[in-house]
Amino acid sequence: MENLHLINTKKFKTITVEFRFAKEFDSFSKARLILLSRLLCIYSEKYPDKVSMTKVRDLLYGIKAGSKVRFNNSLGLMFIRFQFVNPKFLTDVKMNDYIAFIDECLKHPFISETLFEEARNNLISDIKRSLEKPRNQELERIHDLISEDIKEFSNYKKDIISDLEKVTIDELKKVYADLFTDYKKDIFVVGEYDDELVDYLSTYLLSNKECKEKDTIYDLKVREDIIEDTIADQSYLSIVYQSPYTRSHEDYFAFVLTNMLFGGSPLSLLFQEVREKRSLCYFIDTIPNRNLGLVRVTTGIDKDKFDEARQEIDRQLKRLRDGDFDQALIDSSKRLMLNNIDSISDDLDDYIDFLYNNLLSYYPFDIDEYKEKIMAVSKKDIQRVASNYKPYLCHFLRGINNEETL
Amino acid sequence: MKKHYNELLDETYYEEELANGLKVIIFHKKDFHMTSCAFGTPYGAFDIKERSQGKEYNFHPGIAHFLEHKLFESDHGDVMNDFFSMGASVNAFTSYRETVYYFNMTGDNIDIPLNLLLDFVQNLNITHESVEKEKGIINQELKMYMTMPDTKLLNETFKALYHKYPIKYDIGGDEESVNAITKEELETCYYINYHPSNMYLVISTYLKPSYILDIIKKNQDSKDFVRKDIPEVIFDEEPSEVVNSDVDVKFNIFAPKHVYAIKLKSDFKDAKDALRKEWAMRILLETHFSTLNPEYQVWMDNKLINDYFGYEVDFDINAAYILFYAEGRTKAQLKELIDSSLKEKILNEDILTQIKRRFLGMAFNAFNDIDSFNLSYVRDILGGIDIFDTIEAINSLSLDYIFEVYNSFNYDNYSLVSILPNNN
Repeated sequence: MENLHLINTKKFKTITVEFRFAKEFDSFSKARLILLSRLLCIYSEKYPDKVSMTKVRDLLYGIKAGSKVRFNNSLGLMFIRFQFVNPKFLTDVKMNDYIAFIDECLKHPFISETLFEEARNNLISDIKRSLEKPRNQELERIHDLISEDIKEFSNYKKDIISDLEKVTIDELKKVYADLFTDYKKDIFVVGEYDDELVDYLSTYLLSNKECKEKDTIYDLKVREDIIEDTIADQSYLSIVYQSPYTRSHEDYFAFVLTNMLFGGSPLSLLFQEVREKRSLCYFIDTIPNRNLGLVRVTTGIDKDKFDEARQEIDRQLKRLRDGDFDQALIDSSKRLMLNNIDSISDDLDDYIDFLYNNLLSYYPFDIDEYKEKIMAVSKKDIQRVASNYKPYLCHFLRGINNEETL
Repeated sequence: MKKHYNELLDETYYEEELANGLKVIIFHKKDFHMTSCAFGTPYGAFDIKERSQGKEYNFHPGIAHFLEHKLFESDHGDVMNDFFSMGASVNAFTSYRETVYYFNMTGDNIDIPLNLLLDFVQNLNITHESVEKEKGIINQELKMYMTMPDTKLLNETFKALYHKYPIKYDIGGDEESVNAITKEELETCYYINYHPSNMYLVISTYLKPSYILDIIKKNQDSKDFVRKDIPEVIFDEEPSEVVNSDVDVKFNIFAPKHVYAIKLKSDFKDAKDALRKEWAMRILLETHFSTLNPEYQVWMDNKLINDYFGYEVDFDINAAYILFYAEGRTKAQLKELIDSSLKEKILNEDILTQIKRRFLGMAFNAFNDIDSFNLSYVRDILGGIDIFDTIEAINSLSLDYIFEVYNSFNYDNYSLVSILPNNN
């Protein structure tokens, strides 16, 4: 069964079973998927309330069961995970006890009107609470601005709140049913599993769909700088660049390494110059989007340091373009990346993500190839990639106090 | 090396105390690719008043954190760069009770970064200029945390509860205390508190433990450490009454958030006694204020609580408190909900068994992430306990003991703290 991915390893004391579903989405189905994830594996027909579900989970030594959602450009992804103590460590719980629980959760989910309303209200509160943090306000504002130019751009929380208020319980039930028929399905099993578990999971893979990530490069018009205010002790500066680099591009690995040198580690030019030398910030992040080729730099600074920080970020990008950095920086960054790549299989989440991203991409690569391609990147490659970063937007969320005008 | 084997969790680890007093713990994790090393001192943000060799010291709040930043400075620049250049990922943190320096790395060449970890933590090399420069970075870090509503709520709560106990200061101090710290103060603080006899080195690795220990011994044998006393941390006597029983603070938030904070008397014999009693209290509170309690659904249905609702328990030799937090409604309603529930007797043998199994499952899960486990272990062991003590403590708890612990405290000293939307 090609969609059943078995990773037999003794390193973990637990066994993890993770169902991953993928499908192209429309903006409204985002809200449905997110809300559904709040209800799955929380209740079932046999355990229709919090007390009974808590009891059965505790008696299974705290089996973890839950779901989460992710969106990347064109795809909506739903992950349902079960993680439980390997029965070999226990005398009073067997594999078929865990299978029975998984079966109950998946085949007999329970969603009542009351629990539906409760999940919706909690989710809306969570989103609002997240937006209370100025750093998250900044990220949401960036997403908001990008989505004015790129309709598919995901994760705009304020839109999702209004969509959530329109979702109905019947719609959720339909989405759940569709997961098993209309979505691409993959099942990952990590740990010392046995045949009983594998046989059970195989029953879910009788039909399957295919879908892949879409890489799209947009030609975006440069926007005027935007400065807005919020009540906070700290201000946030974000600069977004557009580039032609997605996973499909032959320079993709050079793109990955370039971002590492730019701002992806404490060795990077941004970290060394903006933070260490000029003490302008505590954090400065460089986050690439591998489907759209966008690169976002965000930092927290004092409100009167906008010009200085902005100039410094631009200066570091120019250094990359001009080759004004040592080979030693490239070599060190490569070693650090190799360390990160080698440790992927030690981290449950990272390992499953790595394997899954390959399944969704038209351009998969394994760990050895990943390392080889990173090692092969040259200084000229980095300069070439950096030269193709075009400024797209600059946003400054200025933190002011209550007495100042908003 | 002393070998330990825990049969329940199927875990083997080795322990050795070196001639200079440094304690080394090595977990042999044969199936992993990564080695994780954590070097910790029980010196943290609480320890601002100390006595050493007959002399009393009063340090500025935030000094432990500042020192953590400065230890990365070497005569040739930032030691972080040396680690990253080797492909090792390094970091550090300061909490109220400890400071820990750690790295992880894949591959067999662990001797260089391990030696570097020992060398840089055991050598302070700073200048006036670098101390002044660091203040800008630290102040930005403090500002980052202070923009977070939960941090604000917790800070206001501790200030309301405690007159003297240094939990009322943020771990990093504040802008005023950070700006007041000098090179000389950092050096004094370092020489008093960073001595191998006070420290632990915890390593989780696939490499042979004997090989790792040889590297450490060779490094430590090449150094001389002046024998000194372990400093005594002085805590001014803390009155049992709170500072302020009712606090409202405005903040840039959508929904009000409240804390019902109860200040308890800490009368614990030692760290293990505090651990056992903390777990007893935690289990009782979990029974009342989680999905174990049928009333939890009623509270949700009546919108008295939402997903934000929770509690925290912290018992230490020097202080003990319980915090309940909620969003929306009022703090008076929060208090009423808590107090009413605690009048009922809900915990029984079945629930106790259930909870014990849950926590045992969590212990198994803890070993999955080698890095997180290593850090968690070093933090615990610096406080005199470890995960195996914790499991034993939880398993030993009886219903009678739990109720006895609960009934032994006076709950009259409390603060109600709210952060409220500022309408902007």
